[in-house]
Amino acid sequence: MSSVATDFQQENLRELRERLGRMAGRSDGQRRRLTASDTGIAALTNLFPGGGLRPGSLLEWLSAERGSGAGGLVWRLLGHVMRAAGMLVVVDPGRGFYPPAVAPLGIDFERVTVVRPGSRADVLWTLEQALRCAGVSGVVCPLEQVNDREFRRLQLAAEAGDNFGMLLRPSRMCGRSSWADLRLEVSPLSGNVSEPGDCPHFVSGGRRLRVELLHCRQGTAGGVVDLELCDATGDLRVVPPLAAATAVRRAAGA
Amino acid sequence: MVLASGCAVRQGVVPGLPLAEARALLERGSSREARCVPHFEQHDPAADLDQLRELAASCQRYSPLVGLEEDPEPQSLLFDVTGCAHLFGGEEKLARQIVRDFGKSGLVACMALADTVGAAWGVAHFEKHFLQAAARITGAVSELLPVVVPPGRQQAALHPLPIAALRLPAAVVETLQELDLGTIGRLRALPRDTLAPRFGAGVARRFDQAGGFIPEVIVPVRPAEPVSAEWSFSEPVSDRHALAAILRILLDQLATVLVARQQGIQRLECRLLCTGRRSIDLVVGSLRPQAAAAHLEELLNLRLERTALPGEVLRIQMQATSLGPIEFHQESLFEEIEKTGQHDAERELATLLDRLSHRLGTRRVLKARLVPDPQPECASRWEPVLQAGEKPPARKAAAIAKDSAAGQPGNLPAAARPLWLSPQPEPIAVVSLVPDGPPIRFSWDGHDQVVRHFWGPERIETGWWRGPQVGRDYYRVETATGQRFWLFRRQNEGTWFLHGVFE
Repeated sequence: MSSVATDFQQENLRELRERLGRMAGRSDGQRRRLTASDTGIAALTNLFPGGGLRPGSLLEWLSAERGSGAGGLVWRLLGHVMRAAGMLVVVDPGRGFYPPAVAPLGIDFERVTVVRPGSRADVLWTLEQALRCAGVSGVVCPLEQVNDREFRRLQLAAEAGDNFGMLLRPSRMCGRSSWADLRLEVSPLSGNVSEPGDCPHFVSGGRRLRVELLHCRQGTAGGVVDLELCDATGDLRVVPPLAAATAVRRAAGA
Repeated sequence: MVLASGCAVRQGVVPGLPLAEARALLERGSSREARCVPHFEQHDPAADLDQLRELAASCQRYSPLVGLEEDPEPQSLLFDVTGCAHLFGGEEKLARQIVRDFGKSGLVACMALADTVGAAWGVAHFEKHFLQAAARITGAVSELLPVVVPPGRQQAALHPLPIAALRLPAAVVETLQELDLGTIGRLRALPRDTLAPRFGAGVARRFDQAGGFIPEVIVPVRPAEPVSAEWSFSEPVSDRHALAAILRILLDQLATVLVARQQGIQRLECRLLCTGRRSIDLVVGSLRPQAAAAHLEELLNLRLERTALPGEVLRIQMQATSLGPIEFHQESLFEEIEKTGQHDAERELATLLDRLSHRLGTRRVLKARLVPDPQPECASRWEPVLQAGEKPPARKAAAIAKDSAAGQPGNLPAAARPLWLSPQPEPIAVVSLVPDGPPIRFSWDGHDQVVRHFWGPERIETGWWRGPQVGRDYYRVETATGQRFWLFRRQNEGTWFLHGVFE
């Protein structure tokens, strides 16, 4: 009898909450803010459709070779995203993730869980579980082979949990179909090291990367932005454009 | 400083000393006494109380009534051994047995047996040979002979003891000493009726309790009733669906008991007894006390589906070995949706971590701790998120927090360490222009790499006392294709290794 009464009360409460939510302009099932969040750098924010990183999206980061800098860029974005509440899940099947590398970015390790699945099936299961969880703010994972059905499941999981999923993949996967919301390619730029004067430190200079938006589900692909990661501080900035040759000639009085 | 070891006391460290002074004294002393390495632990009264309660619960074999002394920070155990002594061959033998058993677990007990709690407490704390042993405080003291006050002789035993043996506050003891009432015998010389008006009701009460004029109750520490359930099959069963159904029934039984107590399960042990006298244990733990049978069922099934059964199952025994209070939060109609979402998110996260730990294993779901160590592979430590279903004690948690804070690199540049560190440095072939010079070309993973820029060397060396000495010159290199790697050369041999990739 009492359980019937409790169910009735719960039902009433749910209905009233829905009405309150509608009055406040929220739709049913909306748990967290779904507005795109800033990436911390205007050029990159503009590159993403909707003006930033939208919770519930799966991002595919492609790079031709290992050591190309895609991971470093993703972690800088995650450092920015982690200002909001939630746990960051690092899926690390290769057991190579090295925490001191990200410590200077101000990452709170109390809010980072590292999972080391032993098989490909476990990697996909872990990814799906983590992406679906509302207590997680982001998931990062190197992922090579994934078929259409698995990819779609991951995308739906990210959507259900309103989470960011950052998948680091080799460029040779570029020809395969993708369910990711965004597919970006990161490549190192020639003239990689900037002038020491730009960043006074013994490991002076920065790392220049080109980020190209290859595909996006809602918006126009094809945007390119050149970024520089400061080696000393980890700051991210847009590579300053070269001065136009005509301007130099005019300044010289030619 | 709350307590110090015998070795520390010999160097002048006494309870009440400021920590900085104690540190200075011990550092000076440790150079003289090479065996003594100072070790500091944070004072945690709550953890001490838990330990003492556990000890009291483990003493049920001597007496059904074992409690703690009446004090905000109790330090003594009280036994009511009425009617128990003959089982051990007399009071003397019982007392010796207890002291011997404590000694086996590394505890030195000062024990006294008397008609009243007050008399036993006073003798145990202030009897001459206990005091002498306490003053010696050496590691050699393993067992102290207990004192048994014969029946009806508690007054005589208390007579020579100092006034502090009456369990009085320090301020009252000081006042009584100023009045030349330094011993219980002197206090006893005064008319008993005048004690309360002169010195307060507390003094009179303690005096009467010690003398046996008024009773004193021992509040026993009761070990929690084990919460368990069991199922015996009439025929051996190997069907996993049938097993899962029975597990659910047993979990529901446990949940029914625990809901009434407002407790949840934090660690659950499930034993499957199989044919051929073989058995298998499934242990599941949870970050938060769980009252929901469904969640525990899921964790048990995750374990069960990855376990090979040694035979058909005859019986299932299930026991909740660690319990905790369930967290409630009041539901509110007008509560902000964000706030409700936060509670849900925290609960979902705890469930996720339980699920991951049980399917993949606790050693695969980890938290990172930074360690202030120059050797790169030792600069981080991994700890399971789920410590076998138990929360780390407060003392350990504080130490972890301190370690993590200490591990924050000070002035290390952001790009100084690679995102991917090879579990084992990989030997590589490197070409240098000059001996001990920077790398020009190297070969890794079947590819020749031409070095375009390099930074370094960053010399990392460790002390000989840590084992095999590590002496490495690290270089961050950037290749012609823009990739970045972390290489090092062993100082003695000149061999090159790739240790990390700046992903």
